Amino acid sequence: MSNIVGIDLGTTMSAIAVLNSVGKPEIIPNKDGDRITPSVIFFESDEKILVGEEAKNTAATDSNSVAKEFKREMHNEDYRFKVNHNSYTASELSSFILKKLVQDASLQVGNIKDVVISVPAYFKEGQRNATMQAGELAGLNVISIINEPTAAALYYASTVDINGKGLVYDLGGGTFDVTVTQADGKDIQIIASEGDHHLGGVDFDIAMLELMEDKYSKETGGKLYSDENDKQEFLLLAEDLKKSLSTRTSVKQKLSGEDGKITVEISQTEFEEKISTYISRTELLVEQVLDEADCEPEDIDYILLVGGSSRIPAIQKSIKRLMGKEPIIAVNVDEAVALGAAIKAGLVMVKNNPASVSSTIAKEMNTLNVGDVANHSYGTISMSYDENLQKHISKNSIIIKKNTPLPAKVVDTFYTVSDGQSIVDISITQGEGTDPDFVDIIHEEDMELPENRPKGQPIEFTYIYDDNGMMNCVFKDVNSGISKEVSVHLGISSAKKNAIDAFLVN
Amino acid sequence: MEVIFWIGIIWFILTLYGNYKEKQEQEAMIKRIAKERQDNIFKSKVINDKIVVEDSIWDTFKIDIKGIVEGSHDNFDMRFIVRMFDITDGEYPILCTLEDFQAVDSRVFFYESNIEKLPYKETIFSDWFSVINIPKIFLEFPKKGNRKIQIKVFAIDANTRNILAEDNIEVTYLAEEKGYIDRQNDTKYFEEMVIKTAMLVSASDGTMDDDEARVVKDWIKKRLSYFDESRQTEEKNRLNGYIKDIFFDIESGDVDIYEILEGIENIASEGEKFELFQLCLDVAQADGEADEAELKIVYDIADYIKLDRSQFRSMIEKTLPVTIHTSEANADKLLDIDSSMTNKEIKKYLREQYKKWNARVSSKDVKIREQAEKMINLIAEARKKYI
Repeated sequence: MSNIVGIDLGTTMSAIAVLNSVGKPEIIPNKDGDRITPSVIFFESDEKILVGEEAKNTAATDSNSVAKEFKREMHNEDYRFKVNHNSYTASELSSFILKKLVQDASLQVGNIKDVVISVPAYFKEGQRNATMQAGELAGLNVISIINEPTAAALYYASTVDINGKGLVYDLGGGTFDVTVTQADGKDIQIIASEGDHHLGGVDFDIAMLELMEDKYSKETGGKLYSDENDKQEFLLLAEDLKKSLSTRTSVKQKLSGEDGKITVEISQTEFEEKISTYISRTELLVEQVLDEADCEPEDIDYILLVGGSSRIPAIQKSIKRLMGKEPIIAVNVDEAVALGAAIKAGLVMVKNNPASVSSTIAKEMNTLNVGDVANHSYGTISMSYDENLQKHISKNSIIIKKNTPLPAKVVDTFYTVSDGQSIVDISITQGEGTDPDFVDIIHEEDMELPENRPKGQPIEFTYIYDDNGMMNCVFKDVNSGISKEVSVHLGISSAKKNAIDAFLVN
Repeated sequence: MEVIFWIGIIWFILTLYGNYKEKQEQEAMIKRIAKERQDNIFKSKVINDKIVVEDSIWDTFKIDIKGIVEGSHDNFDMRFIVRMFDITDGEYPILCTLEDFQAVDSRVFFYESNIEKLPYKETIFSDWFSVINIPKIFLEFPKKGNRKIQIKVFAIDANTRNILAEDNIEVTYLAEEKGYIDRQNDTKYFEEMVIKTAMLVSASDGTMDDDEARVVKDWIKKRLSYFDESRQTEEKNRLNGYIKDIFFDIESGDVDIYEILEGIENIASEGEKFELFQLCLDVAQADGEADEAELKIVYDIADYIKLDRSQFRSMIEKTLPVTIHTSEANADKLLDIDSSMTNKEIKKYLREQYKKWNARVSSKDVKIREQAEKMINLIAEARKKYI
């Protein structure tokens, strides 16, 4: 039997979990015995690369050789981390983290090949693909990916008896996701999910550093640091202070800056004021997801906390103020996503390759069920008449709305706009709103139509999004019967894509 | 002998009398025919009529004819042609938006009927015969107001196209919409306003640089491309003239944007207002930075020309994103928070704005991502302030 593994590939911290012999997920500590591993890489030379705690601790000695928080660049095709004589994409950097996690875990549980990797719910097609690619570069077979809040909800459902409507509040090192779920025992249905791309622990660390700088400068008139290496060292200190303020109302700290040493005192209140804009952002996101789930705070039966930054007292106060109830902290918030990803791996293995799974695990998995939603809207670019501009403009017409339960099938009809129109541009978009400038086009091609027909010929667009992450789009010219079929693989590895494409009839 | 003589005399007299009678009859017949022609002269009339098309009732000019049409033989092919002119102050064509009523390669009103078969060489339409019923809604007059319309109706030989009969009639009509000459004049005024306003935006930061000049120049070139080559020089001189005028006015400080934009409500369509505003935005962002003075003037322009709010916001977001503002962001202005809004309204509005911008933070376009990040922070700041 092969190991069934889930990985939380986080912005600042990552973790790996395996399903044990009775189908319960367990975190596999790294070779240093730590249950979570910093997502930090130190390129000591072209040959020597350190990953994890060691790399994090070395960051201050040569900050230019340290790569971190690259998960935030997964969407950025132009991002390259240049070091020594090489440059790395965000996928390549992520693959180093995955390799480290898997290598360390393999020492304890044996060979690991098939994995599920978690991603933030807001990740778009490109980011999901980049994550898949990272897994492949690490020599892994990524059997599926799972949204982080979905993974956390799945883990909570497997361990805590929860029923009713829940809010999964996942504030990690670099990203923030909020999901509304409906749970009936171990049956979890995602209702709505939203994420903030750039909000997490690293932003709070920077805020703490700014507070330290302000205090130092106010007292000495000088600068705390002027060198990037020193900054990295102070950032580590800021992170420690932030953590301390999660359990204390104030902390005293010696700061050794360019104008000598001083001792500063930083209170929880000062820190909370400093991060108040970020807290405001978290509240906006919670309100948004409640709005999309069509519910009020009082409709939420329980709030599940996930992610290390959810420990910050100001965050917990904000949740209580907004939701009118205390959140549940029943599990280790740093580990819930990896543990949930391992469960997802079990569900996938039972479904796709039951022979590779023990009957005990299969039995445990069969008690769980999770239903997800479309994380983004999918549509097409169409033309419509704008009364204000008094001309035809292109717009994004949404066909499958965000947060539609999967599987979903939606049919929409569009019409040709000019007499004799012999070509129609069929595009598939991902994103919200009607403005085409603000959505991503994930597929585009021309479809030929019969000539010499008047305008107004109906073209039927059918989007079918299944729960395996496959979207099948059929574009049909109703009157001639001409049709074109396009398959979009949302969050499926390139190896799997190629295997599926080999069978598809166009 | 004497008898023969008298017989000859009587024959002669009778012959003379016969000739006289025949001539009299011929003259009477000529008179009768002439009278008949006079009575049946080809003529036309215009009736202000209505037609029902689906659920609509359209006012029409119904044009009827009666009288004689003379062909070259029996069973003769002919057509009717109708033309219309505005003769209120000179002679101008009347245009039509319906293709069926347009001259070839032109929008000038022109109607030609299908072939009519005349049974006789001279056929008299003794009753009024309807030639055409023109919906007035499709006609375009040169100017607004009371117009004197001349309608010319022709009967022509369908083969040789020679005119067989014709008639002119005049009617008056109240044109409630602006005419094409009015619009030509408006267009010139609009172009003047656009150029002058764009120049003012360019000068608002204290300098008129090359990038801004290029934007205005490109706009002028595009306008010139709409004209025939023969008119381009004349039009170019006109448009360049506006630049010179406003340049010297700006230099002497003798310029008021409100004076320039005065009257825009009456002459510019919504689409034209957006065109003007877009050019101003393009000028403001031409050097990659939008300073406070430029922002102030574009917001003033938007207020003055009363642009649709959501469209205006969309244009600002695309052309003058917060990322190119050189002054500290005025969150309320950027987010369009109105001082009259209640906290509840602001909360709802901020949630909508957050939803919009949060969907853009993972855009493939780095500029959009950066803009979204800044906007989200502004929204969060505003939430702290108002909620």
